Amino acid sequence: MHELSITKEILDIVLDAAGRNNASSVKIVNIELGQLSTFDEESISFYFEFLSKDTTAQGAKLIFKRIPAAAKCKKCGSNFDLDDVFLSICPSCGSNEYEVISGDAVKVVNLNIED
Amino acid sequence: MSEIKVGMSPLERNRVIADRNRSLLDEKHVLMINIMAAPGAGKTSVIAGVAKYLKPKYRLFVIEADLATSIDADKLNALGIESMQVNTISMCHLEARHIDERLKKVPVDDTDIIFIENVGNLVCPSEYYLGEDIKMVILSAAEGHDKVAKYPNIFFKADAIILNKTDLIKHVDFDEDYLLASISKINPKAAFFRVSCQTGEGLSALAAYIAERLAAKRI
Repeated sequence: MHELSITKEILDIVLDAAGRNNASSVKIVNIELGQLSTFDEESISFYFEFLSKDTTAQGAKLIFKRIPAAAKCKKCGSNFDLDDVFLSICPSCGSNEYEVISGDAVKVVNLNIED
Repeated sequence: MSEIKVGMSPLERNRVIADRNRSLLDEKHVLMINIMAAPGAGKTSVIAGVAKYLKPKYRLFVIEADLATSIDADKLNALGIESMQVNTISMCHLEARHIDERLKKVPVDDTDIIFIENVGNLVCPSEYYLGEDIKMVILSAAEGHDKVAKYPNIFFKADAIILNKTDLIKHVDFDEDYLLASISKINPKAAFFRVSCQTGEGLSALAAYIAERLAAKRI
């Protein structure tokens, strides 16, 4: 059930944007998913198909793009990848003081609609 | 066909509510701890264990979440620890709106520390910020030493990682060095505590950490 509530939020965002642009139907929804996110593309698509029945988003295709996780070292300022191994130490200076600068977000980027 | 730019996060609504929860508690100088773990790791026992040390000095309140029953809240209330049960029915995690609703019923002006016992799960709760000051993730020796490596997302975000049921280590196949290596790789910044709710090991140190965090918030 993990993805049900986030999919409801995605559908709300899509229907709101579609409504404000007087779309007759939504064809494509482009979504960015950070590498650090545990949300699963297939489950979101499954719930979306179910929840969007009888709305202008019915039949829309969800296209996902995974955004790699990256961090910026607070000590030496260099950027480094965080994905897969969750390597949480700056490879340049060995510090573990860093901030995540990408890969922890979920975003509805844009929609392709029929007017 | 035309393209519409959106650029909105489906977690934004949750974040706004969580920030509101946090501002309310910041204003009242209340510390809120989000406790996450797999079912059976000992979340309720750890709360009861640290409460022994904290209760004489601080006013505690516990928001308990499970799919069903009020077993945990009943248990804590019987120990004199004021608790409220939330039943999420089919939901695998708490969201900020659940806490927003409950905070209206918590005597915030007469509370120092709020513990949230999240739904037993090592995946979903990691995605939802509730407005807490501390994310505390518990694993128990009985679950095995590979949990941090296998569920990195939730441990990556933890401010404190608790190894519970240390009394069982000698009875089960548990490689503590493996666990410590996983933590130092995934989240070396997290505070780490070894506790046993059976023997009482480590509970006073964990309570002291919580008290320090509250004191830091009140400076």
